[in-house]
Amino acid sequence: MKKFIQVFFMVLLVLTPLLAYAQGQKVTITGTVTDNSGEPLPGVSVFVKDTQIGTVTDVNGKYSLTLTNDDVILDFSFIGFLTKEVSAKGQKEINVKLEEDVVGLEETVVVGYSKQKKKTVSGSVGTVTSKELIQRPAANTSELLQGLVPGLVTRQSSGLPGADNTTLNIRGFGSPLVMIDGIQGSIDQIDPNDIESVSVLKDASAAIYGARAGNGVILVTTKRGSNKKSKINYNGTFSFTQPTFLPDRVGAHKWAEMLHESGLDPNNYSPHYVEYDPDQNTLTNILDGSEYKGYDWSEALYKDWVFQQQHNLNASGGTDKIRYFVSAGYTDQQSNFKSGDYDYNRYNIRSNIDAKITKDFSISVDFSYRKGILDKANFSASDMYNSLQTAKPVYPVINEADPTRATYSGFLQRSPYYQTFKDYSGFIKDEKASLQGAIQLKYDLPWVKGLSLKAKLSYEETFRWLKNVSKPFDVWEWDPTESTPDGEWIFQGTQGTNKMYVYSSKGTELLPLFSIEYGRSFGSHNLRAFLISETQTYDGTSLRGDRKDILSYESPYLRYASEEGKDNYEGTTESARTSLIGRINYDYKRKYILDFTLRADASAEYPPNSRWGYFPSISAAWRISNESFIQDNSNAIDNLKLRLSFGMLGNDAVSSFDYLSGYNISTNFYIFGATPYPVIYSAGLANPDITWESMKIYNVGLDASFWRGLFGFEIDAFYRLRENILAQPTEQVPSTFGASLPRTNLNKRDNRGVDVLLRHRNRIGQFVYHVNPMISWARGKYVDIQEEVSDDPEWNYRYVREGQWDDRQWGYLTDGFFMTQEEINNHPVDQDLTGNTTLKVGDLKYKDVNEDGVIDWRDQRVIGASGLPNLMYSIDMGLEFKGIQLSMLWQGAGMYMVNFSGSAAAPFSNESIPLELHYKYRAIVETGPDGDYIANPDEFELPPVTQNGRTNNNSKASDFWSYDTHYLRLKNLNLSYSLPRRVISGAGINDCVFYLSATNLLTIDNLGIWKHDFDPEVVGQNGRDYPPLKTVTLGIRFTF
Amino acid sequence: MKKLIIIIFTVILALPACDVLDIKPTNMISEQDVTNDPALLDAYLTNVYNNVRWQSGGRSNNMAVLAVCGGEMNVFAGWQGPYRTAMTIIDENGAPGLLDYWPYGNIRSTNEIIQILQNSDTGFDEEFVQQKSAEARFLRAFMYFELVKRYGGIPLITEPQSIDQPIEELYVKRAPEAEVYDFIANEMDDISRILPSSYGTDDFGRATKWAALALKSRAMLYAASIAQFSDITLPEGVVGIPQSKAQDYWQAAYDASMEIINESPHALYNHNPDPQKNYAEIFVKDGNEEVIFAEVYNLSLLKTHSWNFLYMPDGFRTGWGSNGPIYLEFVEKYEYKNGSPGNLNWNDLNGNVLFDIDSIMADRDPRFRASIFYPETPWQGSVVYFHSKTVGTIDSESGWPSKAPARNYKKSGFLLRKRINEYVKLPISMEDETDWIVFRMGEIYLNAAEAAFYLNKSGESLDLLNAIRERAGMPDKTEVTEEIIRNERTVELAFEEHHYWDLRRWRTAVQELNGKGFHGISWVYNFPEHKYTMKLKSGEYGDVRTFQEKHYYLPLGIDRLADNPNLVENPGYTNGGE
Repeated sequence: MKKFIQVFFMVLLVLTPLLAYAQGQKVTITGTVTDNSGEPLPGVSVFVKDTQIGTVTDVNGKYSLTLTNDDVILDFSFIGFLTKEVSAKGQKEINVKLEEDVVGLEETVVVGYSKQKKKTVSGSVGTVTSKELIQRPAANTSELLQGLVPGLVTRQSSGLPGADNTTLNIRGFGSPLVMIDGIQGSIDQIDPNDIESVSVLKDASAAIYGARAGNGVILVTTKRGSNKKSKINYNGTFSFTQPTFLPDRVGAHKWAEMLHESGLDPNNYSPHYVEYDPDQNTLTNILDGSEYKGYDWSEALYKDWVFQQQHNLNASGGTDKIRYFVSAGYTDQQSNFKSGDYDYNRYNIRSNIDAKITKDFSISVDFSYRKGILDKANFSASDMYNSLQTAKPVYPVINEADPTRATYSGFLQRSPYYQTFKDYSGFIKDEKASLQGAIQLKYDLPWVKGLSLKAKLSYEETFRWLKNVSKPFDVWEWDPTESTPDGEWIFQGTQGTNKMYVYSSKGTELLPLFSIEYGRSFGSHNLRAFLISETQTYDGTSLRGDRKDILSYESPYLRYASEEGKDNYEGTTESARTSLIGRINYDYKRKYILDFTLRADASAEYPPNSRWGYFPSISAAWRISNESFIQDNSNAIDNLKLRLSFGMLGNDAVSSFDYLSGYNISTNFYIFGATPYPVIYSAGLANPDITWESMKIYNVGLDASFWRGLFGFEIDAFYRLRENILAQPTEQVPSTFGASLPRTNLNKRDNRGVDVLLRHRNRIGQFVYHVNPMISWARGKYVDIQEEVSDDPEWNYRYVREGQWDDRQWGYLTDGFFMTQEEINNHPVDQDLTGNTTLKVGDLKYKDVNEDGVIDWRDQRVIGASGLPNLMYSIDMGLEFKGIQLSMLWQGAGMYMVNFSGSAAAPFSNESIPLELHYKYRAIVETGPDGDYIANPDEFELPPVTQNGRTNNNSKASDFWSYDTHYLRLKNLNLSYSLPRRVISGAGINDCVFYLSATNLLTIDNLGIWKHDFDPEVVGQNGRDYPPLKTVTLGIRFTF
Repeated sequence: MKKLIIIIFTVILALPACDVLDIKPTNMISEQDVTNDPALLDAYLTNVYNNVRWQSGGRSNNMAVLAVCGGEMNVFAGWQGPYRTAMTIIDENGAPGLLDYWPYGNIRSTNEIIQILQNSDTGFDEEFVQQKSAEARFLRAFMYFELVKRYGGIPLITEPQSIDQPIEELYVKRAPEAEVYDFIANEMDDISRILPSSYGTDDFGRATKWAALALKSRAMLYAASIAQFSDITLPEGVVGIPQSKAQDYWQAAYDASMEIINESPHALYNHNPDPQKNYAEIFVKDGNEEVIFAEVYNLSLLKTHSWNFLYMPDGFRTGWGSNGPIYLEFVEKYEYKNGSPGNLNWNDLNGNVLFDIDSIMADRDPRFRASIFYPETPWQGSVVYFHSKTVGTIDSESGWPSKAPARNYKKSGFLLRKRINEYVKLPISMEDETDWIVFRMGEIYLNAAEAAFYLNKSGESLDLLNAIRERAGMPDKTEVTEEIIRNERTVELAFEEHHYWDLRRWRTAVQELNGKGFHGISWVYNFPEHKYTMKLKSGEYGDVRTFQEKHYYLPLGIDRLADNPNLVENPGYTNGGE
């Protein structure tokens, strides 16, 4: 909080000198602003065009404005309405009726290196506006994009502070390029409150980013000041979080029962004073003869409902000479670990200033700084979960005899609870900061109308500083029965070692850009064009130092650790690219629209002769609704636009200096005698002709809106062909050649898909509601691929990928279980390739698909699509009544695979403690006169418990452990209330909103018996993940 | 002014800064440099040493893989790689797990080094060329031996291939199995005349004359065994060696072994009057005279492994520990000190009969006590316990624990001790620095004894065998039989990555391993009697071993077959011969 106050004052310091502006007086104009239905509109801005002179309407929609000169144009604007301009000349009273902008056609959309009105956009561009971004709370901007853009595949698989970002993927293409105000970056480095808009370029519209744009581009534009009235906004949220799902493990008795069932003796796994009686099926505490209940390690580890907070304070405004947007934000996230030693804090500061120096010359100075600090005990979550899943419920989490001793959890030296404390395991402090700056000079050439020159220098410096201090701690078991009368501590090992390292890195990116732009209308012909030259250089370096045997943890510094075995390492990266970019945008009467772009990119990582790549695109749109045959005959159609596009893009994030041959220096040494000898290894054969992947993308789209926004849709269909994918040309050399052939631009794959967004918006009396469902489907195929083809048709069917979907997951098909030994003996199919001698009752039975009498790879079939969901869907719903707003976002995905593995799938695998569901659904095997049989034939759904998790037979990849998954979750539920203006205006507040918001409240999925323990967004389920969070947030927003 | 601005801008736009693109990667050395600079060429050769994988299971968690496959020991948990490898049914589709080895990349490096040395016209001095070529040839032959013992005949490539070569040259056929063994023999004959007898302590770990002969000795023993005991064949001798060649190979193994025994400075380590201590020191006194060739480890130079950490018994460990339960069947292979057979009467292993630990365990072969922990083994000034329970009232003065630390009794009731350094207290993962011995004199004596036996030199065979037994503190044998020789080898070389391969070359693995589940002992201490009861229990994790006739050769696998149509699969596997 102290830091926040500091930040707050810093912002004020910057703001104060900017707040003053001048006024004069002469003519007074009054009037009322209403909406289409005649209802008065409060809060409408009434300003003299291009000045800072103006006011806002009151509760009754009335305004009064005094002017020094009435030869001006008044500009009436209000969010969600079309702006109206009225000449004030000779007027005393101006009453205005504003049209709702139901279709958003006048909205400005950011596209590559420029802006376009939505109505003239010819590419497939999804947009998210600032209004949508600040409506609900989230630590990361990426999370806010879930469910809002058709064709954007999203997945949030962790809720761990600092690592809870959502992966974004446009149309299943791969990792997209993210540009923040023209600099490549990460979307999560930016405070959602600072964002004006996010544009998702899904088709040829991305081609203007050339060799990096193959997977689509996400453009983030930050807010800038306007010459309207100054505003100060505050947005604060207070959240309580808890994991969505946690695996529920069995307690002591069920654990012992299952151990016994598996053939293991629970007494070998229990403390000395706990005894298992197999006849009674109970655990007994031999100290007092009572039943032994055990301990819940998972519960001990977590707190419920942990606090998180976010604050942002920003101010914007300006005069016609100078405009500003300044902002400061703070995010504080804590983890649900009870130790409290796992926190993430982030600070964002931004200042975007635009100044007009002369009539033709303007300058912009942007600056932003971000720092994220992860401060936690020295453990990795996955490591801790590993320990947690082997923590036996018969050992106490805290030893009352001496709570300061780290407790033994029944396996190795693991102590998952104590591990999460800095005082025991040491700490990790990881600070990442980035400083960005940009200066832009723009000159409108006075002698050529519409021509301007621009020079911009962007700069980014990134820093990282990480310190990891690892502290060993002894783990003890308390044995109250041992030889001494008071019991005895048994040493069970030491967790961790005494060592530390410090890592720091810095990176510098420089991005000079020069452009020449031209935009002018000639009658009905509108033309805009630009040419840009851009060069990007990156230079990064890192340094790491390791030492062992820290003298004292009070002084955890390298210089106080042992000289012996110290190690250090320097890493370096350099890259550079240079580009020429051009665009011509033409339309006739805003009806026929044509857009050409061309980019030439050269990258240093490619050989000089194939360094340059050319990436053209063309797109066209026809606004059918503007044709007279529509306009004359119907007023039902607000907008109907057909879009077509084709572009060529590249992906150069695939190779690094593969065109050079030679040797690399290894960090390893080999020892002869007592001397370390350096090692160099061959970099492999080089490919002097290597170049980037190239893509061709085709898109056809139709946008429509009817009956003033009552119903609308946007439909896109696309096809992308990805060529020159680097691959090892396997056919040319056998495995005995001994070197992989250099990767060559050989393979081809493609993607196809459809995005659909439907809109419905209506007003019934005072109620306004909207329902916007969206759905998208995308999937890829191998078109032409280097692979081995055999003479064996079954081998080809199983392994040859050409012409097939690229995400097929193969496995065996299960056909129930073996119920009796007799059934195994008589089974006609050799399932284990040794005459079924290794099979046991309760084992899975596999289908002999090819009916050759044995189960082998020939019987594997496609059991689903792995990886990213092929299908994404969501429904965004909202209801407004006076100041009350209720909105819901349902988001879901389908056609992907969730695989249960490890301890999630099988009890006792890797020494893990079984889950309740394993207990509930396992087959119980008993031995009768005719051999083994299953005692609960109608109730089980899982194979019997074995000593070692899954057996060879049961662990085969099959449709049994893999779920072709669908889920739908209530991503967000939001109830907000805006205080009536008449209440707050007296306090100088323009806007004040309270809201209550909940995320991930409810999830519906088809994960069968696993659904209560695992989150469907976590794909490779092994029970070792910190799942996404459920949050409940109280938020407040106000504007002065 | 107008024009000036436009001109300046046009120039800037038209000339994107091309010179910024002249970047070179920061860690690259050119081919040219390596062909000229002896230090760089040597660094490239060192990379081959580094990648050979001297210990088949690597140097961390899977170190015991061959011992587990061979039924010598198990691992602590059934999901560990070694156990999974031992239990998985090997077929042509599933690669043979940790047993797989296909080091053609590293072989290519040796071929490149030899070629660079031969073609060098820039003047590496002759001695350097000879020495480095010989080292490269040793490494190449070692890898070919590792291949041929797994797969039978394999493509024998001795020059770096170029992608421009015609297809028929690139798709190399499998050489006959005998030819690969002959290649190894000829190469070792050649380079044993070039390589020095030793490097002193400075370069210990490089190939020597004796390392080359040791490789020949071992390879010839394998070739002879296959000729003598195997009847699996593929056309053109791709697998299988005519029985008629057996004698020649036995002879070659014998000759190479005897040359080492008679002429090398290496000898059986014998510095400690206590035979148990003496035997234990072979493995922890790095670079002693018994060691012919080893992979050197050094903690302060950051090359380490995890042997101590993995196998240290519970009560003396910091972390994992107790990871090497030894099967009862293997314990029984160790004779009693007086030379009587080590077998127990399994009828007595019922939890009722009382045993004196000294007479059934401590009284065995000193090598047993140096290789295996059993109840009450003295260790680090204390004692290793294995009992899961104590019967009767414990006298609190005695300090007797009611049960052993949990990890010790969970599995078989015995643990691996060999190569653990007793002086390392509370070992830490990947901080162990004992060398990995690849060739030592004990093996050479046993190679010679075995070869002599089949060459009908029984007397000589007996002498060699007894040399090993005398060093071990065991009474002499009075006769040699196949069984005696094999058991002596099993015991002397236990856990040193020999037994599994021996079972394969003797063609006894089907009989010894297939369908087997090995056992362990549950120890209960009777305090008043100061004796133990022993109860038989399973030493496995619920699986049964599969070793079929076809597994004497590992499958090349469908992937390797698919990318070279000239390869044939081994018999018994799909696409395989016969």
